[in-house]
Amino acid sequence: MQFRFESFAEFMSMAGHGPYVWACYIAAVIAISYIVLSPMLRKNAIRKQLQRQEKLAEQQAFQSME
Amino acid sequence: MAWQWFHRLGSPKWFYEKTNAWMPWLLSISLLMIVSGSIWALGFAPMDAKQGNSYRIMYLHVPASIVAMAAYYVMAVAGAIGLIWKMKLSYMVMKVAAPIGAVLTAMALFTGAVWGKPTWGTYWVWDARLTSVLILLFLYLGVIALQEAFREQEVADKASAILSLVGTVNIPIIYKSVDWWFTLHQPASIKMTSSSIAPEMLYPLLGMITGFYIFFTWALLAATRSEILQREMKTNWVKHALLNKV
Repeated sequence: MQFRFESFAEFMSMAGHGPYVWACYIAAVIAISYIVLSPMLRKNAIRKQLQRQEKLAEQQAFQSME
Repeated sequence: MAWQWFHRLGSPKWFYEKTNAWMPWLLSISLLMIVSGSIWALGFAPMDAKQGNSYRIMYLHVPASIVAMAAYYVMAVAGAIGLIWKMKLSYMVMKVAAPIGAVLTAMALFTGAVWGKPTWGTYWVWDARLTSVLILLFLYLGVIALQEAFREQEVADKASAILSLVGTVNIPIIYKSVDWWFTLHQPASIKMTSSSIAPEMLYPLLGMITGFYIFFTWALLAATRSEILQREMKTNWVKHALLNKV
């Protein structure tokens, strides 16, 4: 197996097809990042919401004691 | 007794705990395969004699298209199981499959259009394959929209499941479109029995397809898990799992 391009510049230009090829691979990076990040961000948002609720519940319990 | 596993599978808590250990493995293996497959595809696979370097887009276009359709099967089957057995977990799988499938379909359409420009001389034509995949994207968007349209989750789930099942008719049309109305898009190059691609071009493609399938498995599980947390937020086990308290 060998690298098919003579230089880095040639690898980038891909004999004229560079813009098409690289546009697709950049789009793929964006799409995959979106799919990876969205469940992680959602989990964090749920955790924050639960923490807020906990705090509120604790404050209410404290006030009712006074 | 024999049905016990089926009922346990329907329990969101059991599902969440069971899949916990798989998640980092599925994600790292799939990303490793996709990244190394991409490097192979971009730099080490030989140039195509007819299409030149633009064919390197195939290594994204083919896996994205295959998995975009597989995601539709998953969504429709999960919707059917939800309708028949009233299994909530199944509805959750159906719901989260839609945005993942939509992103993959958009990726298939985008890479196809960009590949079409240097190869066919145009980004888009109303070819049967291209049009039926565009309909696939609209079906996914339809399920996403239906999920948002109802206040009652149960109603939203039933409506989305019915749309998914009706839309299944589009899947064989996508498969067969290149044979029935052969206008511009080429028929499949890899089949179960034979392949018209040279081995040194084929291996990275098979690697990418496998990587995309594993990635989809991770994405589906991860999204289902966050959907479980959302819907079961009021239960103690979710509070326990997310706030790390006893």
